[in-house]
Amino acid sequence: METEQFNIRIPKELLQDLEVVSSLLKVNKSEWVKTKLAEEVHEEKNKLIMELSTLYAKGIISKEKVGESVGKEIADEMEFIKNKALESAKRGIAHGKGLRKKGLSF
Amino acid sequence: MEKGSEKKDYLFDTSALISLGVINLIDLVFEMTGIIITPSVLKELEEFAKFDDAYGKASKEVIRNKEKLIVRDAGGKEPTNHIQSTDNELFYLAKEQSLTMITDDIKFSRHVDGKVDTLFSTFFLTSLVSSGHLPKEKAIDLLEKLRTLRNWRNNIIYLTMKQELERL
Repeated sequence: METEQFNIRIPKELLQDLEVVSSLLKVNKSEWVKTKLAEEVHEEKNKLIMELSTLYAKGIISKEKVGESVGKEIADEMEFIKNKALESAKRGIAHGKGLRKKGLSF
Repeated sequence: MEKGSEKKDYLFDTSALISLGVINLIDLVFEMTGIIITPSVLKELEEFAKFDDAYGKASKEVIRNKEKLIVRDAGGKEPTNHIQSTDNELFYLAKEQSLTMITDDIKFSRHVDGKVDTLFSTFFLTSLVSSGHLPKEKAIDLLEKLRTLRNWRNNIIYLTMKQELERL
């Protein structure tokens, strides 16, 4: 996996707490922080994309705006899903009206 | 359905049948349409049916009506890039026989977009409401039930469908 350095400054007290955690869990400090960070980032990302998808589905923001925030790939996928859902709904309505016209019951 | 009337046949993949099974619409859908599947879809359903979870129960519902399923195989097929062999069979059958495919597999649907006609299984929700066989409020409840997997993709489907159902 390709990696990149990411430096942050943290309060001394936090670093001391990390020492306690890593000592009790018998894990490497950096590895433990990386794992926890990955979990938090993943969860937050999903939550934010969920909110974005709601805004997009309701027509409050455009596909372009989605693309600016999360990239073209996700924006394209959101557009596809919305269009397919709309198509499925509208064709379903037409299909149902056709059944009603024929007086079909089941 | 009345005897002698023409039921349009649709090709279903496993994901769509499970969705319809989860919301207990399989019996109604069997009444309104011919359900075509491939041998590999039947096999997948039989595998899922071994379990007691929601997917297992839904699969059992579908298989309970096994004699009503139309199982068809596609002719000679070449592998299509990036999709599983089950999807391959479905794709070729849909293409050969110009069938509309009902699938809730978004990745698959995107891959075949423009090559075969696909719809989400929620097609049947609006169809049943507009034909008068399902009350709108019930359809919205069932739509909520379909959101078992809460991710952003299903969220868009849910919100878009709900909007259309509310307009009916």
